[in-house]
Amino acid sequence: MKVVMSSLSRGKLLEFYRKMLLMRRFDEKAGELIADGEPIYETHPVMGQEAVPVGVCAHLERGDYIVPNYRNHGHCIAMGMNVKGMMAELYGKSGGVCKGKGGPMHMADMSKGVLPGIGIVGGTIPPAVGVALAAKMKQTDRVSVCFFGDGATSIGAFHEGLNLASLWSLPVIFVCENNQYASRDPLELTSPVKDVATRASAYAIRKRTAGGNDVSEVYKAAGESIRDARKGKGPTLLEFKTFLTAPHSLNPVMYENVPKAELAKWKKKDPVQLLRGRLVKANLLTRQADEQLIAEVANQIEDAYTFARKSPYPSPKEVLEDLYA
Amino acid sequence: MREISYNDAINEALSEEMSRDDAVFLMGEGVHSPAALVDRFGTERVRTTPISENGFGGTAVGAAVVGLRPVVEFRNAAFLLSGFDQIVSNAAKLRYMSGGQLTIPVVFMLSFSSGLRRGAQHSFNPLSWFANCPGLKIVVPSTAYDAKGLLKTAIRDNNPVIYMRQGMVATTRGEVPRKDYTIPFGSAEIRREGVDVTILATLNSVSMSLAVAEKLAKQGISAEVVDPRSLVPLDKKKILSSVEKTGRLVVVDESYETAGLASALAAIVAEEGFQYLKCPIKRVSTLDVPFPYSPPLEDYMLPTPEKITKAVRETFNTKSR
Repeated sequence: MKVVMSSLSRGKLLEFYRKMLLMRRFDEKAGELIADGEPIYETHPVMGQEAVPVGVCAHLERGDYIVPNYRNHGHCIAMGMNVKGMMAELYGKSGGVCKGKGGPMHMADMSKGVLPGIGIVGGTIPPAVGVALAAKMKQTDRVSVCFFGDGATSIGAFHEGLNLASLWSLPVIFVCENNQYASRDPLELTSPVKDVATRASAYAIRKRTAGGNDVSEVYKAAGESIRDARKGKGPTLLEFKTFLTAPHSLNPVMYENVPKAELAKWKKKDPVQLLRGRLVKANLLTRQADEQLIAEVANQIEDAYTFARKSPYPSPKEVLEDLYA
Repeated sequence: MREISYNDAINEALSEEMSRDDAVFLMGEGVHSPAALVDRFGTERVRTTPISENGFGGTAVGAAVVGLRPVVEFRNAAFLLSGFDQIVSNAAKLRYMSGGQLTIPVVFMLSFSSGLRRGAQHSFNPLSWFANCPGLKIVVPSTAYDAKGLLKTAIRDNNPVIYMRQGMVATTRGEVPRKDYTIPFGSAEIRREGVDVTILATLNSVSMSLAVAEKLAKQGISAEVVDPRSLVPLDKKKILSSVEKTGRLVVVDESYETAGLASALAAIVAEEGFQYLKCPIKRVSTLDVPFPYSPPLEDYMLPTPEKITKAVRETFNTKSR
């Protein structure tokens, strides 16, 4: 682990830490607001999985695109989207990143390379293949990255997408955030293979399984896959083992059945705490600096909340706009 | 003017558009045949896909979002049912749910095979389903001339377009200019002028209705045949002005009777043109059963010249208002 740590600069690690804190605080705030009865109707938290979007998206450059699924707030923040616009989108306000049309699941910012979050499991995969096809046909070294959970590896879109990407050797990275539950259903009840990366062998593409809670490990694994894609070596199925330490969805009617012992085990491996511990141990972060960073992030989220509250709702007639180009 | 087949008109449009714009490319099942397009543009731009409608349909969506202009050949519309998610959830909705941040210039080419004895699972006509999916445009070319002109417009449009062919129509020939021309969407064509009754018909029902109109003319009924050419957007104005002139409407369309296209078109006229109507609107649709294989059974379920004639006659038998 020391080796990996040393390959990342202090600045980069602190940037990762800041983004992970921002994701965490965004989720916490959304949860608090929903509990307070604010008019936010759903959000899919990324708590416990923050290291994956941070470590993967850190390799992306202008002209690269990601296709996230409905659990997309981490990816949006990782790509540098504005949390004010994101918070306003939770409310369906006109200041939202999608002017209130998308909502929590479908946030998008094409100027940051973020396609709308896709609400259908596995639905991210074929469009990401298409983005990669365009990159290849235009003879660029751009890549596309799609994100999905372990549940998506059983749906047809996953298999059709991997098959095409391999057949045409496209620069796409399939990132499976294996949090071991498809909504409420444990992986062993839904998949015959434990390591979903195994499925790559049917399509003759590279596979890699790595821990998803250590951002340095994620960064390293993703870096290799993305470099391969840029060099024209085709796609990789990249699996990160992680765990969602919040409910599937912060929707008041959802109930959860994740065993408490399993949850407790994974909470000990919390990615934010893990990185904080490492930074402190390596003398890269003082307690004082940490407190200051946490306060800054909390303020940023409070500002976003204030912005969202003040932002007006769209005028009802706007419902008919933005359908056709 | 030279006459060519409907399918040749399509290939000519593809070839011209691919020459005009490097972003246009063709992908789908069986697109390597006939070889003319592959010979001219290569396999990079004429991509044969595996049988995976959801995979390549969604791939086209992604490619379109970042600036290419894919034309996707699905062949039989029934096969698209395996790819419905990418058309409905992504192609039709991504732009809207992003608040208008992106465009999806993609053409989905489909055909259906009613009347060709293909049985229950290969004859299916999903037009009314697509018409119920805001975000898609839908064109229904019924002649070789329209096949070329509408395809060019579809390729140049910045929205997902369902380009629907019908097996019966695709075997026809017609006059097609060699030159570059487009047909605007939302522009219905009066196929035959008349003053007594409007027959609003799509695809194969157009030629069938024209034949009926010829016979009716000999019996003293002057029928106007209107072909909408695109269903989304729809040329309401031309349809309503035809009904204003004739005062009678028969809608002929091969989607199912229940909640089908004929119902939707009839409802528009009932709501916005009721004052022009001398009698109730009649619909001629497909009976609500799966497609049978046996010829007499299939013929019985589809619109026929006899059914159209009967419907027209009924608009005269009904007591005028």
